[in-house]
Amino acid sequence: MSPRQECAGLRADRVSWSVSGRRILDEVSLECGPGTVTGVIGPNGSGKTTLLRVLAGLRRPTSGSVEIGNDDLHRLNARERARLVALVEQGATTDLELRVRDVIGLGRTPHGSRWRTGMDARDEVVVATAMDAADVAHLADRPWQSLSGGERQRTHLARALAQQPRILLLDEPTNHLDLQHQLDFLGRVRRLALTTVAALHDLELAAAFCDRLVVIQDGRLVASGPVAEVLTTPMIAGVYGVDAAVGAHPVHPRPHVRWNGVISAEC
Amino acid sequence: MRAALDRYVVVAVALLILAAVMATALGIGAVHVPVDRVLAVVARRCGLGDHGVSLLEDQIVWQLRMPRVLGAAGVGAGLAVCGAVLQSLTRNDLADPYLLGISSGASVGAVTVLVFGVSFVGLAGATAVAVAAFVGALGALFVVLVLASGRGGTLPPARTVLAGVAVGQACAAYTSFVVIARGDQSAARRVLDWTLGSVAGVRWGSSVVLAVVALVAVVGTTAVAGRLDAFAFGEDSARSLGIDVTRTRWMLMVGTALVTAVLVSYVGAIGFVGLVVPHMVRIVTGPRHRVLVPVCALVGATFLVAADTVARSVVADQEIPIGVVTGVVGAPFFAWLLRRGRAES
Amino acid sequence: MRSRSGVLARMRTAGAAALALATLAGCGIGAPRAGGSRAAGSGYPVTVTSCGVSTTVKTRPERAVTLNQGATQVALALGLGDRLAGTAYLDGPIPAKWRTAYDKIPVLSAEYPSKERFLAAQPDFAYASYGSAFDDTAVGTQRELAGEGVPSYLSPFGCDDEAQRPKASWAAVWNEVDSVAKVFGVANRASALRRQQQESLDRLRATGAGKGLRVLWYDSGRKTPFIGAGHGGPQLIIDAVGATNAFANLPGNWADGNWEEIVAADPDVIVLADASWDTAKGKIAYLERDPVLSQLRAVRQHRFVVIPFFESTPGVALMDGAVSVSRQLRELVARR
Repeated sequence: MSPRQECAGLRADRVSWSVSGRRILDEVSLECGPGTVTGVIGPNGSGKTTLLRVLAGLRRPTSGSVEIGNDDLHRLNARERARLVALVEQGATTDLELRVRDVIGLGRTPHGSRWRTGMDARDEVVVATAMDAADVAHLADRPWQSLSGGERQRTHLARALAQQPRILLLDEPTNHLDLQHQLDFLGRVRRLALTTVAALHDLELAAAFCDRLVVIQDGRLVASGPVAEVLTTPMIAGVYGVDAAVGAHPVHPRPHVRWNGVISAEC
Repeated sequence: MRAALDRYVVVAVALLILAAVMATALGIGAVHVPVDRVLAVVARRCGLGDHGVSLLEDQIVWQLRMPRVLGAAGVGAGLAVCGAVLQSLTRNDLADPYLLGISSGASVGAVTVLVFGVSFVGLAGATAVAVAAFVGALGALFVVLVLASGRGGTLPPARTVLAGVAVGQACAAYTSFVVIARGDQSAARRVLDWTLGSVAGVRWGSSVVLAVVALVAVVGTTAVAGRLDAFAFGEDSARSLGIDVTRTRWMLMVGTALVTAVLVSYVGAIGFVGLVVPHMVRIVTGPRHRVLVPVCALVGATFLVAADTVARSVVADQEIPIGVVTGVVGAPFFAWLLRRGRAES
Repeated sequence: MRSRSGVLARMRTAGAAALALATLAGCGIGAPRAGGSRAAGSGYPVTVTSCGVSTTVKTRPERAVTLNQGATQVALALGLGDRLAGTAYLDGPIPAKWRTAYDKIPVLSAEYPSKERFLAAQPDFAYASYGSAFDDTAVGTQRELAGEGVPSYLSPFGCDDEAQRPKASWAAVWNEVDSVAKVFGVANRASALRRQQQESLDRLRATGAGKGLRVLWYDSGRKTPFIGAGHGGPQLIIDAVGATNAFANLPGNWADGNWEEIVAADPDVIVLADASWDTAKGKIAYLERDPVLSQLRAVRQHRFVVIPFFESTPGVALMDGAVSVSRQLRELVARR
């Protein structure tokens, strides 16, 4: 990556978020060191997406705060936030006939003057670098509508990188992708060495690509810490209702999960 | 680099076509004025000699056709730009400048004056209708915005569209009721004429206002082109790119509504321009607003000048309502767009 | 592709466009002089007022344009055919007595002429029956026309502001004719017309062909009939022939009627207005086919009176309508 600001640490302090009287997030705290990849795991509906949206500044927490470096995220204005945090959403689509280059160029929106309408030389350089990092340079002039799922996700990643954020947030970035593309995408993210928080579905992927894990269940933080400490048989049983054995991976220095079956007695 | 050149080329070509169409429109009308006499009138008015221009020639070419053509260009440009903005903001292909109840509200005002024959605040006739239409449009806008403001004053697109539909229906009911219950044939005919729109009444004073309003709309919208682009993937995506979505929506919706209200109160509710032109232009320029907006303005202006010229020349002795011409062109184009979409997907 | 200079460039373009527009609009060069002015002639200038608008006519009009049929008929009734440069908006047949004169006058358009067409006729006076003629989408407002040297007059019956319209009466019709005659300097013809029509009226009243008869005046419509009410042309005719309007209590000139009430009233005679958009034949067919309405006494006994629509609105042809109604009623009564 071209020279940029040092990536920052992210701190969420007892963040809660409610809507229509329902508590979606309940006093979640987490801390991510600069340059680390943190995985957020938990069953569907546990509040992972909401947590990411709060961390991105898209939703204001009903209590608690989010800090990036030394800045309180929600005290900043939208443009300042967008220069600090970039979010890759799940399957964001458009009907417009944009080229890949245009989509990535959107990432430059928070930079430069508010009234700017075009890209200058500096913007072009950043976009080109982002395209290389996400390996979509060869697709630059292709229409968005013609891309495959994997290519679209990488384009979104490039767009997020074009924002030159200090924190990268990914919301289930590998859903709907082939296994090969899943591994490729997450490997690429890891190599960026940018502070990253990724909501992930698949425990194996989480184990392979994250430094730390955070487990959310029913909006509450259930466990957090290094992968090996968090990914345990009791945790998987309690949160997922699945009986699994966690052992050492035969090749790589990380945990490996083997399913045994559903725990039927558990409610 | 190539992109910049393309942009300038497209704009230049559109500008040339507009100029050509406007010049042609000056030479066409109910009364035959030869091309050389048209040029003589224009030359005289620009201080280049007298050329023996008669009063009638001057009246027809300079006092009637010129402002009418300019007015049509302004209205076409304004409506096309507003349509493009609303389509992007609501991410709805069927959005048009009348989304926020503007034309329905304007109808309420205009019809009330036309049927009840009131002189309104000391004004009478066409001025009263225009003022009443503007007031009606603002009233409808206010109701739509109140209905559409979600929690925290956001304007969710789906809700906004529905609010516009609801207010539109209510206004249409009032209009129909008033015409049927109180209107005589003459009033009913005038209401119909107003509803279909016409630039026939535009003279110099009005055309300058229309042109200025259109210019403001184009310049203002191009200035926020970057923000409009950011809505491509939805409002959360726009927010994550640093756009204050709620403030941008309010600003643009109220802005386009005001522009549309002014245009409608002068010429009535001319349909299809704001709906169809952005789609036409997007095919050529793509969806990026920095090119889309100025070209929409130019193509919208050309479209409406051409439509007006057809409306006043295709049938001898009678002007077809301009709304009919825009509809006859717009509807088939829309059908073609749908087929094209189906073929590609 | 510099974005910073982009803003400046846009502002420059906008500024240039605005300047060009201002130059165009304010070139400062006025319209060419109109052709030489005519001598005023005795009796001029003349001022007439209608609908709150005062018009001053400086010289005798020689190239007047009538923009509605009512206005055209007033002009023809005053024998002004040779002073008309054009007519417009005919929506029914011209009465036979004026047909020859009418055919000699150029017809500008089927409805309102475009302003271009109007100006090309080089009018020196414009006369209309409805306010819509002076919309800026038609020939332009009266003020605009005055600025262009074309005085204009709008029939008081057609004022946009309803408060300024006179109640329908023979006198109001004759007053309008007087005003128009004054503009054209033919006041004596207007007096003659007034005398003539007054004599006709007196004769009709003396004859009283409709005495003792209750009349329904059926103008148009099917599901909801549009019928003559208590204050318009229909009522004037009904009064002139001495009949009674079964629905004289309704306000206005015409009003929406109600078939139930009509069945309850069971009128003696039904007068039918015949127009191209709703023929008398069509109305009779409707009445005869309807299971309930065909039982009305007037329908069963075929006691219909038919007059053209244009003889039922307040205007110079209204008297013809009254005469025709009177004659037809006498024939009906004689038949009985």
